[in-house]
Amino acid sequence: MPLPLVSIATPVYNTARFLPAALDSLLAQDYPHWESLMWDDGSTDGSSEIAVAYAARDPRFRLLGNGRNNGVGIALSSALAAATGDYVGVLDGDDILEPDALSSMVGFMRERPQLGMAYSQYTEMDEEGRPMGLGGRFRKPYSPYALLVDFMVYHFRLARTDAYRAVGGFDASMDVSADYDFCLRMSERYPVEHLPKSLYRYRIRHNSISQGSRLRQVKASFAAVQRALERRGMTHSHALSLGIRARHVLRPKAPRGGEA
Amino acid sequence: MSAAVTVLVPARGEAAFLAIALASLRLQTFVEWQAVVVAVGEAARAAAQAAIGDDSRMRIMDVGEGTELEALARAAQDVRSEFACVLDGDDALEPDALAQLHAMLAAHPAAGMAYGRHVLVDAGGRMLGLGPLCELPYSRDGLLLDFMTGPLRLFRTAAFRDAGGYDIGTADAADYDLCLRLSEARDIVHAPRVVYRRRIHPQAPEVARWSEGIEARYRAFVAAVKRRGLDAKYDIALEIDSWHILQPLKPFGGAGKLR
Repeated sequence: MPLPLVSIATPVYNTARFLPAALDSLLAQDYPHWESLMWDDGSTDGSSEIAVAYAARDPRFRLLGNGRNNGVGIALSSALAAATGDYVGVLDGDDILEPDALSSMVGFMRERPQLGMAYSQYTEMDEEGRPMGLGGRFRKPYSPYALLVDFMVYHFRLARTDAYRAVGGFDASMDVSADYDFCLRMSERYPVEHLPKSLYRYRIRHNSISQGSRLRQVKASFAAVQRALERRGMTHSHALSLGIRARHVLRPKAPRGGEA
Repeated sequence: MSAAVTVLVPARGEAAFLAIALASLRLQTFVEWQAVVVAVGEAARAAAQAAIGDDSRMRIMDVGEGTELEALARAAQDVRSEFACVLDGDDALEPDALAQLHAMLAAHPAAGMAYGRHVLVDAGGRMLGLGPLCELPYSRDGLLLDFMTGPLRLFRTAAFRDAGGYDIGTADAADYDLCLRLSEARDIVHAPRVVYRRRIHPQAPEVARWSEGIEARYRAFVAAVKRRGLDAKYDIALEIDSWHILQPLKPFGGAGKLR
């Protein structure tokens, strides 16, 4: 029986500094049966040229898209519409997969064919790639109900392609909460389980998201949960509200020239 | 001749709330006040006329075209009293509110503004609790991080004007921006008494325009940091935490099935 193919979507948008490390982490996988679906989302920093170079070097890399900036929702949904694999996942253009990420997740899911999706642990790293320790989101126990208040299905996620398509895949209209919205829909139709192994390195970039984008993300996530409550018939039995705390921060500037 | 305190009352058209606001003004133990109701739109004007009745201490300002903030800024420019404050048409004063704040300014001649504590109430007037920031100690620098000076503030009119009054370019954060500017020129004093009832309802700005408020207050913070020359020493940022709260409507039976 042939080993299953894994389709990995990567939105390519202004991550030139980090994109080679992300794509190299695919090349370094101990599981070679993958295709990389890079979606050119209109970068202006040379990221597209990097993606073109990888596609020329290895036929498993494919660069899709029209080069216009359409946002992450359209990038993810369009890239995975072209998937030919048995499983689908997402690697962000500034993150890194551990070398055994695909083999571990495929093995975990093949042993549990009832699962629609599984997710692993992740570690965090700074902009220079220095490790910052184990992430925190996955520590909350998963349940379809708990997913309404905590997005613990994070990271690395791998979904069965037929389940991904059965629940409608990423909804491009959900913009920056497309992944949360998708996971909520997946949780309503299929079992989801956690593989307690760190398979993904998530890069913390302090200035990567403007306050406007962060607020857009907060609103979009809340909208995704409101939609989930409607789908689940819970709007008459439950009240959803949003807690928010905004802090103005003043941090002493680092001394010039760096520390000894 | 103007009364000692001019109370500006922005009114949005919720007649029941405005009637409560003006009734709370009539109950003040401090009696040297006059009120100007800043009514934007026909509904607000009709509600104001009904709530004022024949009370000669209150009048409606003809605001013409423009936003609520533009109208309020114009009304503030016309104040001739020694002191001024804003009573939102959705809110209410405690009976000794003006007396408390007036006494604070009388005791602190160098202060340009006094403010007190407040409680939050819902649309039906039910108490929700103490205002979230009003017990924080005031300092000029602390105001950069937390907007603790409000929502009821009594200004010396001269200090209000010296600080530049309301800036109509700071919609959604006009009060915060004004307090920051005033804090840079004058002392601000705090009366440790509950003087105000702030009404939280779906149309209240902190509910209906919460994200615009966060962004606008951050812009006011950034502007203040630059005015104060702190940007040479400090990096500035806005950190946002959010969480979803899901509560069964009937916690002890009949709630949705938990999976």
